[in-house]
Amino acid sequence: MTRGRLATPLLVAPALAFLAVVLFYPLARTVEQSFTDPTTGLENYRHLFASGVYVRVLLTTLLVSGLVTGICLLLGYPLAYTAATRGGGVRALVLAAVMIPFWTSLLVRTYAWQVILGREGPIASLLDAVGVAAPQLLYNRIGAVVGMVYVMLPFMVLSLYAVMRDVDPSLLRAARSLGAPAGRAFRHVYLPQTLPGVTGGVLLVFVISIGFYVTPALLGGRKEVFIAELIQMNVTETVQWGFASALGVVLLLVTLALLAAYDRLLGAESMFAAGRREGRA
Amino acid sequence: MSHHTPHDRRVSRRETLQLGGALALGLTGLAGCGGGGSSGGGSKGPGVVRVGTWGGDYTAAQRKAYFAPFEAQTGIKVETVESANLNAAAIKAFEATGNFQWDVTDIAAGEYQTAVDHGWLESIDYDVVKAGDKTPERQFKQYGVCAESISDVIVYRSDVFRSGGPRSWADVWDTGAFPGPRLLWKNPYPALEGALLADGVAPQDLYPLDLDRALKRLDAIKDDVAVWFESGSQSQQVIANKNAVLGSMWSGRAAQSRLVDKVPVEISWNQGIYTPSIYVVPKGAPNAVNAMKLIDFMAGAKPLARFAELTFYGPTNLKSLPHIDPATRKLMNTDEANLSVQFERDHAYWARNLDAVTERFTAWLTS
Repeated sequence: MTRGRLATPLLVAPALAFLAVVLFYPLARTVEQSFTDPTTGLENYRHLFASGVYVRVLLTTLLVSGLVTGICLLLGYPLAYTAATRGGGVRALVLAAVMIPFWTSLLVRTYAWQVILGREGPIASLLDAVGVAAPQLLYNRIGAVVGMVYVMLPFMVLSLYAVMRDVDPSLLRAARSLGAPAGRAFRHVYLPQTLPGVTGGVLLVFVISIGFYVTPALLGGRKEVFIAELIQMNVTETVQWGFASALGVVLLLVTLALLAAYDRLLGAESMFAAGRREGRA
Repeated sequence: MSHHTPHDRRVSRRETLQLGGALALGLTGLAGCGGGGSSGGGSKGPGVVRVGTWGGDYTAAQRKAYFAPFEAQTGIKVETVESANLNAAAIKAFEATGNFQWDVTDIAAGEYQTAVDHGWLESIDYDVVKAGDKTPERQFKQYGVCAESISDVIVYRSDVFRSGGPRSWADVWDTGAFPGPRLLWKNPYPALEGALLADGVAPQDLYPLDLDRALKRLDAIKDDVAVWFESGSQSQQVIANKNAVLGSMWSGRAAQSRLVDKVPVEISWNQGIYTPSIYVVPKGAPNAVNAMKLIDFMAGAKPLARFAELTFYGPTNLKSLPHIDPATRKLMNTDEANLSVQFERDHAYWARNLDAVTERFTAWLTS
């Protein structure tokens, strides 16, 4: 750490310059535009909060994204655990199952779900054959969540897997040999060591989810309108860039506030601790 | 793009440039994924024209019907620039940054009206543009020339409604006579227009829309609309897998469902809502002269007929129709029999009210 101190500014300068051009400058312009276009003042923000629909859509975005993040964690943890602890064949299979959809075009995957979950799709046919009336799986919240979980699961699994791979399995064995039941050994020895992966995965999945547009729009119902869809509508259709900027700024602030709250509760620095450990190798 | 400072740009324009810069950067960045940057000098040879295009099958059809024969006839090279943002906002970004991604494109009629209202378009040079149907309201406008068109039409599965389907928007609303899940475009049009027509308003009395009345009428079928479709291909999928069995689709997509996907979908042309798309040249476009020549070529009867056969978008030049094969022609929104029972959307109304109406509609949709 000490040796790196002098070199650090030089090492990060190119990245910072890049970010300044492609992120900070446009972001500053966006913030400025939200206060100046079409008129100078708070008009865009006043309208945003007065109309109700934007706050509602923002809440839907956060709620569905939270749901997707939770389900990804529940599904992803055992998957990543299996990949990290089992031998070559099983590991390869799990990772391939997670990664192959990751490499497939988003639109193709979304349309595939429309077929699978559709009224005459395999799930409905199967339930039909068993004599159960198939529930509506598509064009509602179920469809949106299923489609989003499918897209986001690889991010969760890879975040967890990267950390779990480094957990020493002999620690778990030691806990067992000292008399801890399997559940307790997991809770007190394994789980805490994987928390950086959980934090990283949760943040990554949640933050990407709130920017979703295509998947909830194609698989969700009339209520699954995400804030990104309204931003895009204001940029390209109604050409109200100042208002679109205000929506973007509010989304950014809400996201940062949620991340800060998460950090307060669980400590996001645990994620960076993982980074430091990897840096050592 | 070398000379990107159109003639009389004033200081106030500069400010717009700076303000718009951030978003424009994003827009043009998205748009700039196709076509080489070389635009060849203007004076030597016939030169080039750069066309903004939607990509995929659409661009392939334009290449076959328009660009390839145009290049062969004039020697002017057509460069295509693919973009998902062919609209007034993109033209605003060109204006703001002086970076013209393309010289000509086709935009929806509502977008055309917005661009006209803001003064973002070149006037069409009718000394150059001579082909096509001269009926002014049909094809020729001051700042654009209509080429293909589309209508929001009432559709139904003929295997579900064997003794005849819905023939009016009132029928689409009549869940007793025509039960089953419906599909509508997730967009204020044609949902609000359809609701008012269903409520008995005549097409000529439709605008300005009575939003309260329209939303109240939409409330009546809220639970029967199984799918608010987001894209044309999604609507085809929905009608094919019976997630909806009646409602409204874009005419070109319904025709494609029927002729290509072989789905038993029937179109009721009555009360269809007609919308042309319009070729325009952004003000200050570097190859504007060649763009006018290309527009002249595309407005002609035969190129439009060829394009219609490839895409199912109805030609706005009615002289194209005899050149189209009969099975396809019957499903064209501009075939005389079909066109006569439709009406044209009031694009000026939509261009001037889109923001407020969209907000009301979105509030209704998500509540």
